[in-house]
Amino acid sequence: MTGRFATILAATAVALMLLTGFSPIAVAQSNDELLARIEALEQKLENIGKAQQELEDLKRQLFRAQENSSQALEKAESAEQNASAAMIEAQAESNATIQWHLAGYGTADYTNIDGGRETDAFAAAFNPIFLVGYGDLVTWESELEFSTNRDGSTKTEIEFSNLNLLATDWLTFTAGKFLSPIGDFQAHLHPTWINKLPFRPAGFAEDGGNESLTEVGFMGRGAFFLGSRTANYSIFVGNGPQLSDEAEEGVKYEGSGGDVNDNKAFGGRIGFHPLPYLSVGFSGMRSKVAGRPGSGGSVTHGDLNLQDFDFAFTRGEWDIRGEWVRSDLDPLVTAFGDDEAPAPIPGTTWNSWYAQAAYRLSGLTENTVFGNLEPVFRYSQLNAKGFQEFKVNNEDRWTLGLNYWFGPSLVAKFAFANRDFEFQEDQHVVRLQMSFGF
Amino acid sequence: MKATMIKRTAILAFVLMGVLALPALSAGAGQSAVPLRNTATDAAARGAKAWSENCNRCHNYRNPKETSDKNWHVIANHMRVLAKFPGQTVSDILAFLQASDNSGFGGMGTPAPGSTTVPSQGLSGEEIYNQTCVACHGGNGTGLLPGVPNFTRENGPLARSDDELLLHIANGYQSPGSPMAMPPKGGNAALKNSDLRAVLSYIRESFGKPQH
Repeated sequence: MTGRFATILAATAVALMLLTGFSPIAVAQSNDELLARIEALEQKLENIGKAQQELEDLKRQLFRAQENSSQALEKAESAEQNASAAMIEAQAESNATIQWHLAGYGTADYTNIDGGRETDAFAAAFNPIFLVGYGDLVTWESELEFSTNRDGSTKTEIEFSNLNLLATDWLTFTAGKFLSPIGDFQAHLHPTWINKLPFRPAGFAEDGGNESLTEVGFMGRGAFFLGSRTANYSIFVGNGPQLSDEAEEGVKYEGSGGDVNDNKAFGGRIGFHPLPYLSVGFSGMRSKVAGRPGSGGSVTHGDLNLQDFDFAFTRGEWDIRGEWVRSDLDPLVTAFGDDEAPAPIPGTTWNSWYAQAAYRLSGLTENTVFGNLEPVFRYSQLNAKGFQEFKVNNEDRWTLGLNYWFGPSLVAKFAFANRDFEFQEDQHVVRLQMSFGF
Repeated sequence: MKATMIKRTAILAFVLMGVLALPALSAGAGQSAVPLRNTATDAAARGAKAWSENCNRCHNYRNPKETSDKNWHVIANHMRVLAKFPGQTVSDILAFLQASDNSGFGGMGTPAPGSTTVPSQGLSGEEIYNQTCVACHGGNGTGLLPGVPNFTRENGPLARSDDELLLHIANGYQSPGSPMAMPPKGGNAALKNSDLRAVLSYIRESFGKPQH
């Protein structure tokens, strides 16, 4: 019974297994699959965990980036505000009614002299120019000169200081001390960064020459169109020149703050530009010079008349210019020095002139160094006839120079001057000069 | 007698000048009697010509980039007084200097953007050259100012490629040996790239051989 029952039971189990598809082998196979699937699920869960971690990291990075972006935006806004404020400030400064600018030039040189009583020496000078404008109505201009003296002291001078009313397109009124409008050299060419040579021409200097230097007075000047070209003019009245207390210095053509003879000087210049690169000018001045009383005694006045012609040709690399000035002083009674009594002196005529040519080598070469070189030659003469003491400075001079332009207004000059005096020992002079105009 | 006549003539001249100046002086206290005018559309172009003709009579040409627009304004008035230029000439030169210094910011009287420059619409290369370039480069392309190159030279500037030359024109360029640089677009900031190509074509046709 039991055997048969077991058999029936087993058969029934097998039948059931077959009917249901269940088999021990299948069970075993299914367990493996389950395990594999579980492993796969575990792997996936692990990956999901990693992804979540990465997501968290990305969120943190995004947050930091947002923070940085916000800070950058704040900085940019702040910078923009600062820039706007600076722009407003700069605009306000630019639109201010009173504007000023410091210009001028500095000079340093070494002079080697062969002949005469002067010694070799270094020298320096500083010429600040203050320019102040009130809109386009008025300008005030002042130039000072500070230079070294032989004894170590400092010489301080006012070159010019004047108020200018820009009345119309063609007229400016000037009052104060101004550069004499007579000729061209003193008015426009004497600054060391403009003068092509480190010397003034013979006769165009402060001592012994007859070039009108400065005046204290009142002037009207301006320019106007003549067709397609322009002309300019100056007309002035001033305190006038005076006799120097040193006879060999002749007439002092520097403006002074007083009028010793209560007789004003009148003069002016008219200039033309017939071609774009050519200018010519004609000048004149009439004045009276008072005799100096010296130790005491009566003196007389003498008429002093001055005429001047100037020209300039500036085309391309060429700079060719010249000027002639003649002055005639009537006979008068005067003393020189405080110890002398007045005595008559004969009438005197001074003639000074110069002609110079300069050529910038940039016209011949594209080499940067050689293109900055500029050879210059000048011939000048001072010739006085009349009172013997006034003739002491008579001189024929030729000067040869070579300039190197570091920039439009920064120059090193080397020049040799041969000075042939009529009544003094001749000189050979070598000068090296640096000048910076700003 | 003669001296008296001269004095009377001088006094009369001063009085006459004062009378003629009265209308301008009566413009109002604190206002500019002669405001520098930058309203003409070709002021900078006129200024380039005036600058090339006048600003080397005494000293070397000064580089527009040497100082700011504000300082140029003060300096221009100083030159008007000392060197004696008509007010309009000074106004034009100032417009050229302020347009050429790339400061991008003006001083007193600075014009609104584009108001001082040559309008490019409808202008040929030749017209642009004659308005903006001729003052320095000359009608024959050989150069009027120290250091300005000669376009007609065999191995001169026109031997370079169009791209290189257009870059020089647009950004400014200093030729070797030249004391100062050409300002960007010759100082005429309103010129567009098409204008620069047009003027370069004109320069090649007139002074050199074409290149591509």
